[in-house]
This record gives sequence, structure tokens and C-alpha cells, in this order.
Amino acid sequence: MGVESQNTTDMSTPIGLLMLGNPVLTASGTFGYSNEYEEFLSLKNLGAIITKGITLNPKKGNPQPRIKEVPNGLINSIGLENFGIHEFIDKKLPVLRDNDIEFIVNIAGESIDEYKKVASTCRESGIEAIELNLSCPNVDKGCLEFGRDEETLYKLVSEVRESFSGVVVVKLGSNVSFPEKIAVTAQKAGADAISAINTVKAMNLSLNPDYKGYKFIKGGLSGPCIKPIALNFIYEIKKRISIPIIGMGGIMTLTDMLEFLAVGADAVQVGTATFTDPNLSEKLVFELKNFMETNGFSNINELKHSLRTRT
Amino acid sequence: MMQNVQNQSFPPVIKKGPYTSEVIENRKISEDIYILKLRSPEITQNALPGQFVSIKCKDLLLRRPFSVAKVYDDDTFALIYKVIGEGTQFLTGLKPGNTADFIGPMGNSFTIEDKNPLLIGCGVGIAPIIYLAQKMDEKGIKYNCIIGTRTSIDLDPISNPCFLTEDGTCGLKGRLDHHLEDIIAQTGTKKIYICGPNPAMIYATRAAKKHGIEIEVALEKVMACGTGVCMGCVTEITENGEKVQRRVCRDGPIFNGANIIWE
Repeated sequence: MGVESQNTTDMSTPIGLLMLGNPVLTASGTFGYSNEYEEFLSLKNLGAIITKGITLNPKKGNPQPRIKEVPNGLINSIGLENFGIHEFIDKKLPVLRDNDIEFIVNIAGESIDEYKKVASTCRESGIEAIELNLSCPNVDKGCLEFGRDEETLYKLVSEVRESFSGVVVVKLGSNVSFPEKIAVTAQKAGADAISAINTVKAMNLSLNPDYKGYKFIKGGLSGPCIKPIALNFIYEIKKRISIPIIGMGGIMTLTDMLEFLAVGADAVQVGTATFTDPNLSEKLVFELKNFMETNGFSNINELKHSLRTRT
Repeated sequence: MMQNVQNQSFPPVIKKGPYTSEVIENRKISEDIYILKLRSPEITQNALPGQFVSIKCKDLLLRRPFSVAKVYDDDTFALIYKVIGEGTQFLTGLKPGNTADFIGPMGNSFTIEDKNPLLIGCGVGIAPIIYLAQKMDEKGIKYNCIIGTRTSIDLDPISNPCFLTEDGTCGLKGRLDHHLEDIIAQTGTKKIYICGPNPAMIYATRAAKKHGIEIEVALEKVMACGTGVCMGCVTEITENGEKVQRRVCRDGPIFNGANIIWE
């Protein structure tokens, strides 16, 4: 630790008009809606938390089984179970505000109209930033359905853009044919930032012991095993867009985080790793600060610039 | 700003780890069942019967949940686990002096009340039941306790145990369904507390309904977060006549048995 350098390291990260204290966020669906993790860390130390996906009305989600651990990964099929935007506004928003927690509200829907309605409700409640889930692979309707077709994506993002004056982050996933085209479309439609990647479509089998048939779970794969997919995704879209990128997919360590910054991410989200280490996101903030101090980076842009130097 | 941070409307937050604690003992007590003792004042002071801790097992991504089975005067507590998969296999290798990384205590707890309670633990489900017995002893509540296992088991003494082994090597021979009706009649219990395999809990729930007595069950489910955020371990129950989904890790693991919709 540098003796007098505590206050000279600037980790502040702009995402559109939202100025975050540092580039470490927690991923939607892995951190609850508000202060659920305060038993493990100080929420104010995080760049921001992204709340669990919210739809217009309460959603029951998928039947069991919903989760299966696989080598270096986790398959989930939760199916966006949530209590709807109105209960979020009534019960969770006051907690976020009273605790002075920086947050972005993740929104999902089955129709463009639903996304617009939830976004409008957020605007009316004074919410500053939303993340549009256009990539959840676990629901029959909506999400990925809107995130894999350029025309539909453009329509959805531009219409939400009109009904929401705050920061709009568009969350994409790797289950598409041309990631860079999708990202360019989101930027054209008015997105302030891209976050990627959501979980990867996957399946796990358990053969029956008598070799007659099998049981299975299909869902979205997360965890360290998807990091190479995520890095490639971000590397490819970075060449084509100029808006900030929030990278995620298997981040467990400071090195993982630096790799995401190197391929073009401006900030990162910690997801599944929170289940392994509930305070990992906070630890990464401290480790990043320490790393920057030790290596003489006075702000995050210098670090990104250095990491992106081609050798 | 400071006033905002110190907001009075929120109770003080009790930290739940992660803690790194010393392994005191790790011993086989039945064919594939082990007792693991760890040192942690955070658990011995705060854990209620039915609550669990989630242990990080080597390189596995997800922590594994285990009920607190007993607390001791020297700041140590015990878990009882059955070797099933990679996580519990890893635990068997822990030796005194090693450390274990865990979070907790998590989840809700049994309601301790003096209704001539009958405590039933079957298989590795004995863990929360033994801790419940310890707390009832402390409160001076008299109870009857069935410890049902496949074969004999080496446990610290508890008050009034009725051992039940499938192979008859200790106490009564047979399974819970062979003896429960008789025991309910003999004891005149007004409330059952049970943790065990689903068939045993389903049987006990039916028996409780038949005799018009209360029952609290401790559910077990594969968990991802273990903290209540991922919705991976939800189970269907009825509340006020309505079907709802509740998280086993956060709303449970203890539920009113009469409300469970068994899969």
C-alpha cells in the first residue's frame, strides 16, 4: 500500500450519465433486489448492484429442477421468477435509497409493450438506470427472442429509449449468430452501454442407471467455464461500438477482471462467483485499488490503456 | 449523508461470514455418516436449531449446506454429514488443524414450544434434531426423540432417545412407518419435529394430520446461493389456502409440514 496514495487512485467509471465509484458491479439474478448481501459486505463499496430481473407482473418461473452444478459452471433454469415491478417499487426501492446504494434495475418482458411499461414505471419512480435483459435463454417468450433479431432489437431499444430518459444498458448474450451486428444495432437504437454476456444455452444429462433413458436439465450456463466465450464476445463487439461495455462471464479473480478490461470492457459484473464467495465483488474492488496503487495507475483509464497496448 | 448511513429504521446487520474456522474433529460415526467439529463463536452464540452453514468445498463452485447439529461450551460446533458426492467426499479429508470456509448461520429455525414434543431424525436428518434436543434440554422442556438410522450410530448422549435401526443393531428394528403410530399413541405428543428423507417426512405428516397434531419439517434441497437470491431451491407450499413458492434456504428450511406440497 502506498503511504499517501489512498485518495489519489481514481476508479470512477462513467456508464452514460451514471458515474460509478468503481467498475465492479454485481450481476442480475445473483445479488437479490437490494440489501440481501449486507450480511456479507458493505454495499456502498460496490460500483453498483444490478437488481434481479423484474417483469410487469409477478412471474412464477420454471418448475424444478432449476439448478445443476457442472465442472466449473452452473446451469440454471429459474425462468425469471420475480414479484413484479410494483412490489419492487413499494418494498425494495426505499431500501436501496435509504441505504444509499448505487443500482441499476434489470428489466425483462414478453412483449415490447411490457418492457416499455416497466421502463415508464421506473422513470416515474425516479430510477436513474435500467438494464434491458434481451438475452435470458430460460423463458419461452421474450428476452432472447428480442435480442437475437436486429430489427426487433432496434424497435424495442429505441421505443424504451423514448419512454425512459435515464441510462439504458442493453444486456446481450452469446446465443446469437452475429454478436457485433446486434451490438451495433443496440448502439444505433440509443443504448448508453452494452452488458455481456448473459448465460449460455446448455444442457446436463443424467443417464438412468439401467441405461434406459435419462433425466436432464436445460438452462443457462454461467461460471468460469464461460469466460473464454465472454472474452471473445467482448473482443468482437468492441471493434464495432463506441459506447461503454460492462463485461461479465465467469469472473472469479482480479486477473479475470483485468482480462475483461483488456479486451474492451469498461466495467465488469460479478455473478455466479458471489455464490462461491458472497463478498467477492467487494474483495475485487479492494484488490483493484491495491493493484492500481502498487503499479502506479492513478486512474482507471490509464490502466485500460495499458492493458490494451498491443505487443 | 451520515444520517442516511446511520438510518435508525434498520436493525444492526449481523455479519454471516465468510468465516475461516479450525477443524477440531472429523470422525465417522456410522457407515457413511461423519461428524465434523469446527471452532466458531459466531455459530455457537447465534445459531438456532434448524439453521445451517454453507461450506466451501475445494474448487467446487457451489457451497454445500449442513445443519448445525450441536454446540459446545468451548466455542465449537458440530455438523453431521453423509458422504454423497464430491462436496462431502472432500469433507472426509479434513483433519484437525485444517481450516474450513463457511457462511452462516443461514435460514429460519424450529419453533421451540412445550407441546409434549416428539423429535424425529432419520438418516443424516438427525443433525438439526439433535441440536433441537439440546436447546429443549436447556429450556427444561421434556421431549421424546426418535433417532432412525440404517445401522447403529455413535452419538453424544441425548435425553430420552429411542433408537430405531433398519438392521436392528440398536434399539427398535425397522423403519419409522413401522413404529410411528405406536409412539404417537404412547407419548400422547401434540407436536412433531422431523428431519429426514422425504418418504419419512411424508409419512409423519400424514400421521400428524390423522391424529390432529402439529408438525414442523426441515426440508433439504439442492441450493445454489444458499442466501435467498437465486430462487433455485424454491418449493411449493400452501399459505392461507393459496399455492405459493418459498425458498428453502431463506424462508425455510423449517416449514409447517401441513402446508408442504410434496413432489
